[in-house]
Amino acid sequence: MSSFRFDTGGLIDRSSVIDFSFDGKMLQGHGGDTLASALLANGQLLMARSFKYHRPRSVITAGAAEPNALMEIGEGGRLEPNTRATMQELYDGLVAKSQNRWPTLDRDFGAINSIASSLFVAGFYYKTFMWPKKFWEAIYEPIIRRAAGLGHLSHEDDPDRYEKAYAHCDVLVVGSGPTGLMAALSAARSGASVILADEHAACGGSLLREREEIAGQPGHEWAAETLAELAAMKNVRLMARTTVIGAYDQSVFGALERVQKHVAVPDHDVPVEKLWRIMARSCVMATGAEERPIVFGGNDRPGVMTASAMRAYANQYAVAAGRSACVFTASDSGYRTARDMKAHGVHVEAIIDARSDAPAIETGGVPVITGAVVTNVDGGKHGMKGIEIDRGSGHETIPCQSLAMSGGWSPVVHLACHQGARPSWDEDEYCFMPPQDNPAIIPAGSANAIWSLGKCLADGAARGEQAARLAGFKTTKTPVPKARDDTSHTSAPVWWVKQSTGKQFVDYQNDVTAKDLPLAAREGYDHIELAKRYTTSGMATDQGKLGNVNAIGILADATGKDMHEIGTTTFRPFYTPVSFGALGGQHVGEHFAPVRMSPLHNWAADLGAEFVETGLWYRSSWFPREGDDWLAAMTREVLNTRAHVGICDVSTLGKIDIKGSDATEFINRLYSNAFAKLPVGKARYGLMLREDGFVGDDGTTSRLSDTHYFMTTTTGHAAETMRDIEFAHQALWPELDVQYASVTDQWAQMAIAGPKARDVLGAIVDTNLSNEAFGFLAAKQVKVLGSVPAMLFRISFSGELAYELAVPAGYGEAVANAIMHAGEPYGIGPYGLEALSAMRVEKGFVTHNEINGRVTAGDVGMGRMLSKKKDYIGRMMSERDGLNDPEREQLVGVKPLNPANRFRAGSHLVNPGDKASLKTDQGYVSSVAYSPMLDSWIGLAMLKHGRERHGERIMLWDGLRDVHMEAEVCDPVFFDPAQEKAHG
Amino acid sequence: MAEMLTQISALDDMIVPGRYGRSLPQGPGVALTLVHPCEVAVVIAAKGKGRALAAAVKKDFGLDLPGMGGSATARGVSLHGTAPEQWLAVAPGAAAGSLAAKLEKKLGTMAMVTDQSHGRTVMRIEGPRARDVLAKGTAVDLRPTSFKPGMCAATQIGHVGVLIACTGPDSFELSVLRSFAEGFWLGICELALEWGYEVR
Repeated sequence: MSSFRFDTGGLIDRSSVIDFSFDGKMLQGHGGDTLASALLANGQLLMARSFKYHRPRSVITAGAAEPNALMEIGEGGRLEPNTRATMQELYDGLVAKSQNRWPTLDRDFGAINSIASSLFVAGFYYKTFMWPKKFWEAIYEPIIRRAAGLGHLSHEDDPDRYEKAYAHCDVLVVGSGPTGLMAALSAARSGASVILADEHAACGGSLLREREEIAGQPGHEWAAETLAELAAMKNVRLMARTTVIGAYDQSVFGALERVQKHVAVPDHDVPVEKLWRIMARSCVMATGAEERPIVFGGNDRPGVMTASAMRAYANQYAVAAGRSACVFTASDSGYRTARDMKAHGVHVEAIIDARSDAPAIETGGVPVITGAVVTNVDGGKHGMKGIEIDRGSGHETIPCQSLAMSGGWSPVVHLACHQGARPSWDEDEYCFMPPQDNPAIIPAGSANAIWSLGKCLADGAARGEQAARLAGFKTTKTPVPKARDDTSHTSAPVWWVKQSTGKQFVDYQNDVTAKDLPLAAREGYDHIELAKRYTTSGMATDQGKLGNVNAIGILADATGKDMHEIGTTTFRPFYTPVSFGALGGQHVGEHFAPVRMSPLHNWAADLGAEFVETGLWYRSSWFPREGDDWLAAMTREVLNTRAHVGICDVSTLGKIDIKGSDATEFINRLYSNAFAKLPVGKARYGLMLREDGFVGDDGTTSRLSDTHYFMTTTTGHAAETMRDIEFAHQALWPELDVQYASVTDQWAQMAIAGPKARDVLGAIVDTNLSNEAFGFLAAKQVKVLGSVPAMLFRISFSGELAYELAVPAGYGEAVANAIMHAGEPYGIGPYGLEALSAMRVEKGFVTHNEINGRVTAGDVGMGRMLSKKKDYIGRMMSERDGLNDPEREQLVGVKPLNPANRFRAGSHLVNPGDKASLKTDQGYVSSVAYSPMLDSWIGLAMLKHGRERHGERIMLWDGLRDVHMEAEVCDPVFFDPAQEKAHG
Repeated sequence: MAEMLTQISALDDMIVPGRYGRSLPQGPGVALTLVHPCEVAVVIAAKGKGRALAAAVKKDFGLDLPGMGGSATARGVSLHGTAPEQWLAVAPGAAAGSLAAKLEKKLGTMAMVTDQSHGRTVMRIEGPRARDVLAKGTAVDLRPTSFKPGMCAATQIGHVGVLIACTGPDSFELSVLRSFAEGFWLGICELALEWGYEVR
């Protein structure tokens, strides 16, 4: 292995030794290392196997764009695949594993793919695996997925916590290189609140990676001083380890902070990652530029990397991929690398400059070969031996252990493009320039193709001021420190060295070679978006950060178009991959959705209730006694309630307090049935239609005084009904004097039902409950237990003599206990949702199982509730022909011929003898319950011509469970059709 | 007999005073307190009665009726503007039923007054990290220069509607619907772990 650590230099802390492992091998690095630099320091040049051909790979970059060095980091539930070693900070105990190789990184069986590479050209799976068709899912795809791929998941739960957070600022500066630092400084000095975000652990950007001088001191020292100045300013927030991942509408930016991705065992009190939404008035995009590789033979061999990456490894981390190097360049960057590497003691054999008119640049004594190209690399998994070059007079070889390449620079334009704008090709700078469509996103420095350090510092200062002014601040000119301001030479890029002999990669991560693009064009996929999908160039975790511009260049060449005509693919968030953990934030597991608890929850729990989730609510479902299953418990609860008395928590019903001089008129317009003449002290069942004429919701509304009403809605539609009421008042009838407030949470409400209900309630309520004084549908404000203010309603959802009592929620438990106590002599027992549901099915009362958005009032037998004498929401549309078609399904009851036969809601109705099909379908079962009173399974159903078919036989067809049975159609009211009990 | 009944908070068995979360040298980042009992009422102006209501509120409660997003406090009663012509009145520690009754008596002809003392759970979060904890849940701009004492915001934290009122430089009163209170409290506690919190 040729890579090694220099004896001196770098911004690492040599006094701190960090133990880590790679593929089980124990290694050591230093503080300040990335996993990539530490591996290089240990001579571990081989880091990965490529996606398709399983070629041995090492790092190509030292940053976020890394396509090759992807690894599995961590173990168990913390295992994270596809982590870029270049971005992973080293920490004590770090466990890294290479991926996509078998059995080992060194001896990878999959490398056989490389030999058969002619089979695996672009679009191979569309061509090779066409036949037989059913083999694709069963055989081909699993094999390809196994052979070609990235890391794997542990399938264990992630033990760590993730959070989301919002931040607000006047100016967001993305990137803390020289441009970003000056931008943050100048914006902050205006008084604007500034967030400076940088994806790396250490801020300073290129100043940490280059040998530069600013104001007479080393660049990294100037950066440290400037950061300290910024940190001391109250209006500045520095966010290191934070990648700004997306730019969204109205200057909202997404950012991912890696809070604890650099420790072995995170502090559980602190999230490992935070997903930020940053609302900024303006943004300075100081995201820098990405150096482009050159496409030539063997450009993926371990030891080959971009010129800037080689400098970064040498200057920041004091490591090199080899003791000798060559440089292949079409830009000035290669010369900097030659000089820097020489200064670090690496023997630089030669600079191969593709430009025949290469400008005269200081080489530090390294020989320059102009007008020449690298055609192949002699190397393998253990490193390079040399390169093959062509200077126009045949091939020759130069021995070297590493190769720096520079095809020019591409501004990192992503954030300026996330809202759909496209970058444009600049013929002078030979790069795609960021679009300037969004005035709030201001590209600065090398992200705007400004190349010299001095000019970047000045541009940063100016853009920071511009951003602050945009946010409404007055600025003064920020002094710009002195730095080199040399001219940079830009030249026409070399996209592809066609005379190469080895494999030439355009997109490293997807193993897309230069030949794949002309092939795609020949086969008709010459649009860049089509070429991307056909060749996979620009896909996967790096989204072509390195390869895309070369791919565009090669495609332009192949199609005879210019760069501008080809254009780029779409830039979409996220800039770099984001974990699902971060996207989920704290809303996982039991916190996935908020939970609503009834004020009687603990009361029910103390009585042993089992709970069921209904929407966000937890409702008491049944109250088992020893050995009871739900059916036994429900049966006992129903029988007890119908014979004696029961109490049920109905606090979850929506409750709305309505007042105002026009309250009566308002309510009369909301309900389809008449409410104008509802007397004070009375409740009425009401039906609400939607605007489209179908049934929306139902409930009871009670008149407490001339101008005061109390409305209830179903549990499930409470929020929608409140919304509809607000809309009706605010948008349709603002002239009405009416006020309303949701009081769902203010009241604990309980139903007391059964023949003994009056006796029980009489003991705690201060009012005469006789039929004469408080008859069916009476409603009244009363006092319970002497002085607790309460509302009492004589309404029944069970068909029994029943009351609903509402008391302030905080007294709910005490009152429910008092009722239980008062009811003891009468044999009172609690009943849950199961019993409530069984009793309402016995009575044929509808719920949202029936009024499911597709039924009319007529369908459920409530046609008479559509008033002809007034207007109300939904009236006009309810009169449409289709809603009054005699062919519509109508509410009926169904009883299986064998009462012990259980059937399920959702079963379809088919005439006996017919084969079940869409054509023969007669309707469906909407609700099913076991009826303790009938000792039979019973159901409510929607049946064509249902009301005329009572007594007929029908088939209940349940294709899901393959359960079918014969049943009798009947009236939907199974029990006490004369309503004698409720009125009793 | 009602005097013998105790109003049970939705967080009745949730409040266990103590220090939780990360222990930092500078002490807990926030303190969390349940405000109980706490009288709460919704006040909504009747049509065309906004001015008369403002005058009555000034006269009888010594308060300048705040606009939406504003809060005013006097004589132990706060009014928070939650929507156009709509307020949440809050009186910590007042006698059960007294606030709504008093408001109804003085303002009943100009506004709808609805008692919410049992329907809302009120809590307080204060301390140097209070703004940071809340910023994990709400998109409201909570910078000290933007969200100051005397301001309030109806917003959401963790999908739960909450009224945040700024009561001091780093103090906030949170009111949520009672049924959501338990989950909300647990959620806020979790968001405060990072800087440590104290339950009082």
